[in-house]
Parts: sequence; C-alpha cells; structure tokens
Amino acid sequence: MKFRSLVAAAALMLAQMGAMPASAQKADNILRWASNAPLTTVDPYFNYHREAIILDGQLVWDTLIYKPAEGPYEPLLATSWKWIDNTTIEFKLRKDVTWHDGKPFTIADAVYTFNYVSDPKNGVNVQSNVNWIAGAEAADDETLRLTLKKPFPAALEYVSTLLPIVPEGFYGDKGVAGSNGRLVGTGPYEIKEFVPGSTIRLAAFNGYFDGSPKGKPTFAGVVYRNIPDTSTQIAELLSGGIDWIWRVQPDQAKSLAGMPGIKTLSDETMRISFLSMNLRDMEGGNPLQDIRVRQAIAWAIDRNEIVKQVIGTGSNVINSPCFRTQFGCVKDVNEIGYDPEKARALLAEAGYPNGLSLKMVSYENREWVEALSGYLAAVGIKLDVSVLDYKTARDRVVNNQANLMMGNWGSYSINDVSALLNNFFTMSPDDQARDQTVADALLAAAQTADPEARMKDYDYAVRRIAGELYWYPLWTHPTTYAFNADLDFRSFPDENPRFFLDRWTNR
Amino acid sequence: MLRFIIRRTFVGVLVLVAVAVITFALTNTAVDPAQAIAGDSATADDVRAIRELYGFDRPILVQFGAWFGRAIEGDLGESYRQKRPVIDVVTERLPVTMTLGISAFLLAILVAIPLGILAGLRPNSWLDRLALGFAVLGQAIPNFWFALIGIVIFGVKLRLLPVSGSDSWKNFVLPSMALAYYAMPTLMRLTRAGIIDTLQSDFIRTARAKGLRPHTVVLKHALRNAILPLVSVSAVQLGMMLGGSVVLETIFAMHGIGYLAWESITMSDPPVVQAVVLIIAAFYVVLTVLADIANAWLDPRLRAR
Repeated sequence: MKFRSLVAAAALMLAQMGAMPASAQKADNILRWASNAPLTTVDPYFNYHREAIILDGQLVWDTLIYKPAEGPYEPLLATSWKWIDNTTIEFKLRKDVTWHDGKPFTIADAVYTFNYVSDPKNGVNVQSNVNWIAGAEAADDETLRLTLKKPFPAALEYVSTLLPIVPEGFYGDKGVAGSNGRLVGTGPYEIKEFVPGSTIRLAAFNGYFDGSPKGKPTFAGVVYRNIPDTSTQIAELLSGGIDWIWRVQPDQAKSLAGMPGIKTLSDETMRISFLSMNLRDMEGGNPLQDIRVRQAIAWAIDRNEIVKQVIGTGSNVINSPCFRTQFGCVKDVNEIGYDPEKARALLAEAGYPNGLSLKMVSYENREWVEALSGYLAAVGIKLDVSVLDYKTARDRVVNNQANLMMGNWGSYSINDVSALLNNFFTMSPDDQARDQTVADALLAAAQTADPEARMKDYDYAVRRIAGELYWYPLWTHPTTYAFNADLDFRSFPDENPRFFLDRWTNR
Repeated sequence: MLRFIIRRTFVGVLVLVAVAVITFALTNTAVDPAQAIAGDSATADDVRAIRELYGFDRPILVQFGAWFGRAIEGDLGESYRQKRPVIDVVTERLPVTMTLGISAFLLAILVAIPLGILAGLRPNSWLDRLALGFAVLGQAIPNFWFALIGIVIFGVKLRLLPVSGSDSWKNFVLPSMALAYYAMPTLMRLTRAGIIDTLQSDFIRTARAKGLRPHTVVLKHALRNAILPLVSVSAVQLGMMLGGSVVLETIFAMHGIGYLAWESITMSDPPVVQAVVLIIAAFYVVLTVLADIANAWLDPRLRAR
C-alpha cells in the first residue's frame, strides 16, 4: 500500500504540470462531488455512510428542526416545539410543505417515520440513533407528540440531524426505500437517478417551501459519485470531472494546494482520536491494570509533535476525552505532557524496568499508528500492532484480545458527550474500563433533562476517565477538502458539508 | 467425444458444489449474519430477535440446505444491506465486468498472439528481443501503476479519455489496456514457445518439403499445434478477467462484480459475497470445460485420457 501511495504521489506530481480543472459544471450550475462510500441504498436510515446523511438526509429529506452551525435550533418541517415533560416532546408541523411529487406533507408522514424507524424489527442500521424513541402519535392534525422510552436530553440533537421525515408507507412491507412508488422527499433537491453503489443525481426542487433555513436550492443539480480510490478522485478533480472531494491525505493536499484552479481547506472536526486502555483481566495478566503503566504510556507520547509532523493542519491535541463544543465536555482535566524519562521511571516503579510488550489494535491511519508506536518503543514499550478495519478491530476489543486500542469516534455529529462516552463506558461490550461509577454517572446524565444535574454527572465521568487514564485523549481529526476554486464552500466541525449553503461564484 | 463432454461437465458441477459448500461455510463463520444485520450498536436482544427472524439459529447444515436448494432454482437470497434479491444486485454489475473482461481479453489476444508468432518465427532476432522485453515489462509493471500513469497521461494531461466511470466506451479503453497488458506476457510467451517447438517438428519439415507456402505452414499447421496450451491458459485468463479485477475496478471507479465483492465483504453482506464467488467459480468452470472440449477437438488423443 505504501508503494502504491508513492506511485500515486508521483502520478499526482506529473499531473500537476499544467493541469487546469475544467468548469463545465459551473456553467451548468451543477455540483459534482465524489467520495469513497458506496451508497447501496438511497435513504439515510439504512446506510452506514456519512455521505448518505449529507446527500439524502440534508438535500433530499428534511428534519423537523434545523441545527445551524452555531446558535439555537431553527424551525424546519416543524414551526415550534416544546418539552411537555422529561419523556414527551410536541412539535407543531408546517402545513405549506409538499413532497417532490406534489402531494402535501402531513402529520401522518412524521408519525409513520418515527414509528417505523424506532421499531427494532425494522433494523435501522444505527440503533442508538432511534432506540430511545417509544413512539409517535398525532395529538391533532398539526401536533406531533414524540414519546421517549426514558428521559433522553440529546433527543433534539438527533431529531435535528439524523432523523429526516420520509413519506408514509415509504418502506413498504419489505423495508425497501421508495417501495411505495414514492422515492420523494421534502428537501431542496429531488432524486433524478440512483444507481446503487455508484451514482446519485439530484435536481433542484423548484417547489421547495419558503422560509426554510436551508434556503432555496443554489445549484441546478448535485451529482454524487462513488470513486473508491483517492488518487482517482484527485485525477477527476484535476481533469474537471468532479468539483469537490474530501478526506484528502496531507501529502496530497500539499501537492494540490499549489495548483491553479484548485483550493484546499483543512479544518478541525468533532472526530477525536484516543488510546483506549483495556483494564479487564487477561490471560497471563494485564499490566494496564496498574495505573503507573497507563501513565507511562501517556507520558511517553509526544502528541504535539505527532500533530505537527504527521497529522498536519486542522488537528489539535486534546486533554479531555471529548470534543470541546459537546455538552458535558469538561475541559480543565489533568494535562499530561511529553516526558520519556518520567515514563521510564513509572515503568520501573511498576516493575517493568526493561520495558514490556503489549498488543494494540487500531483502525486509524497507519502512519499515525506508527508514529505513536515509535514513541512507546523509545521508552521500552513494544507494541504488537494490528491495523484493521473498524469491525475487526472492535471484535478484538470486545473479545478481550488487545491491551490497547487506538481508535476514533465522530459522535455521529451529535454535540453531546452522550453520543461518545455512553458508547464506550456504560458496561457495553465496548467498555474496556468496566468502572461502574463512570457508567452510573453517564447513564444518569443521559436520563435527565436538567442541564445542571447532567453537567455534574459528566463532570465526574469525564474527569475520572481522564484522571484514571481509561482513555488517553490524543487529538482531533482534521478533514482536508479539495475543490474547484470557483466553488464557494464552507466547512463545519461536525463533518457535515452543508451543500445547500454553497454556490458557484462569478457565474 | 460425448462421453468426454459428459465426464468433464460432471466434474465441473462437482467443483461448483464444493465451492458453494466452502463459500457458505467461510462466510457464515467469518461473519455473524445476525450481528451484521443488526449493526454494531444493537443490543444482545436485538441480535437475538434478528437471529430468530432470519432463521440463523438453525443448524448450519439446515441453513446451507435451504440456501443451496434455493440457489439451484436461481434464488441466491436477499442482500442484507440493499434488501433486494442478490441476483438483481449481481446482474446489474455484470455488464461492466463482462465488457471490461471481454474487451481486455480480445485486446490481449490480438496483440499477444501475432507478437508471439513473429517472435517464434525469428528466435533471438531484434524483434524477438523486443517482444520479450515487452512481455517482461508487462509482467513486472503492477497493473495499478500502469493504470495510474494512463490516467495521468490520457485523462488529466491530454484529456482524451475519461478518468473513471463506465458511462461510455471511452471509459473502457484505459482499464482494458491495463488489464490486457497484465495477461499479454503469458499468452505471448506461450505462443512463441509453441511456435518454436512446432516449427522443429517432422510434420512441419514435411509440409515445407511439399512446397507449401510459408504462411500456410505457420498459420495452418504450426499454429494449430502451438495453440493447444494457449487454449487452456486463455480460458484461465478470461475467467480471471470476467471475475472482475478488484484493483482496476477500484482505481477506475467501475462498479463491476470485482468491486462488488470487496464492497460486500467490507459491509458484511454474506449473501452477495457467496453469490459473487459462486458466479466467478461458474465462469472458471464453464471456461475450463469449454477449453478441455476445444483441446480434445484439436487433439483427439486427449479424448481417451
């Protein structure tokens, strides 16, 4: 793979000589973008890929409320909403919205959506997005009453981002999107063509309702293509075949940055990297049960240098096991710096003067993993590293087969630490720390709508995770975008490009 | 000849059954299908419910029997991810792979055989050295490198050909060249070796002594004998090409069955993986049987074996 990267870099350098992106798309007012996700279904609920949320969840379908980049929620399909009690939210729905086929949007559509996706039998891919919903009903013809199984303070975060409304009967009997013959949404763009795994073509929906915070469509059309290989994506960008790509590697971004007609942008995202320490009993003993070994690991890693030399612009070192804007993310936790001598001393104190060997799994960028392994090797901690895909790495963690896991989590763009820490510290199979006090605090915080009570619980949980070094927080992930210089594109930390806000300049 | 065909076909069917058994066993032990459908965040209860709903709690042999019974009738099950019949998922990807495979194969044959004949007719000449150099280069260059350089030159710099996709015939030119160049060296060298060997045979000397024209000797007598091993190897090469190239389909963003196989593995969709493996195996089996029959027709001595 390394050789292939070298070849790709060489090819890119060759391409750099004199290539200029074409602007046919700009003239047609079409935005063409590519990513490596094969969207095999068109709806956002039966997809694992973020691209489905960007494309389908935001452009084709609308949520009840809208989450702007900053500030409070805004009305979208709902004009207003209020918490009736800890487990009930009522939404007043708009009456002037039509589906792409001209039929009116009604409360029956919203009731159907919430009841369908929250039924475990229907198997929505990410159950944690919907398993807090008890059901939905129409209080009257414009009031939707959403009932929660138990108090869930982050409910509006999910309603505003991950739960778009589909037409009644959308999934039919077999659970296939559009099997009722209505592959339609209420969003600013309508689906014109869907080739499973390959291409989705959208066209501006001229009947999009006035007053939407998304605004009227800015492009005549949006085309998504699945191009699995990054080098090919870059070649397409250079040849004018596409206008926008993301997750560009730093070395490739550097080459692209100097090219005429191309802009690059590296921005911080909510996705954080962490080193998760396994504290469970393991065959042959587990050195990580001694906090001094965990501390030694932390003191041995120069995160600042890795961020500066390996990861690049847009990444920042973090000390808290969460992203700073997330509700509940306590920031003034204990800080650990880089001190290899201290790391060696802690190892000797813990009974490992000659170092030790540990198994680590990771689904992170291999270069980042190698950089981190190098620092640990320098103090005598030899890692047996397996860089795997997420599913396989997680299996090893769940089956207690690794001491360390270097991973990352994007919190599904939910600005609340429950979307991050509750996945890893609530005695679930992913919980390697098995600290009941942390689990209790996190579960309590997730079950009350009282912000003060929640903050108190998170304060305890976050400080304990950082203080006991169940996780050693590493850094935030940058996302690097490369796009046609004539495209007015803005990025957001939640890794959700909002294409409905972008446009071609100087048309 | 008929007995030979029946015998070969029977062996081919046995191979397919063996492939079906192994694929089913591997995909069902490597992935817990209930967990795959339920997703990572599902609770144990969710997984249990799905296991019962889909019948994954039945003994593996019973599951295989049910799947195989349906597969014989052409029903390869339903994709867990796409919730559509697997046969639909696979068949909509086949045209891309078939077009790419057949065009690459024809290109490989059209270049490699004439080149092999020319090299075989004049061993150790400059033409022979040039042909061998071409073959060595083809074997040494990784096809993804060839593909990337092709993209840079013809797609980005000259803009003569599209970089990726499969919308028009132009999209198939670069990937066909990359795939064909990978197969050419073997075909070229076999043709060359076959021609050199055959030209030293007694019957060729006799043909020449009878005063036959040189091209008749080469094309009618020598080539027919020289291509015997080529037929078998070509069948394997064509099978490989029709099985889809994961690397090339990935680089050129061509959504054929090679890419589908990779995509289904990463998305834990065992019914699609099983179907793709079975279809690729079927390609190989059919082509091998056809190659055996062609060889037996060309050389009657083989029918007795």
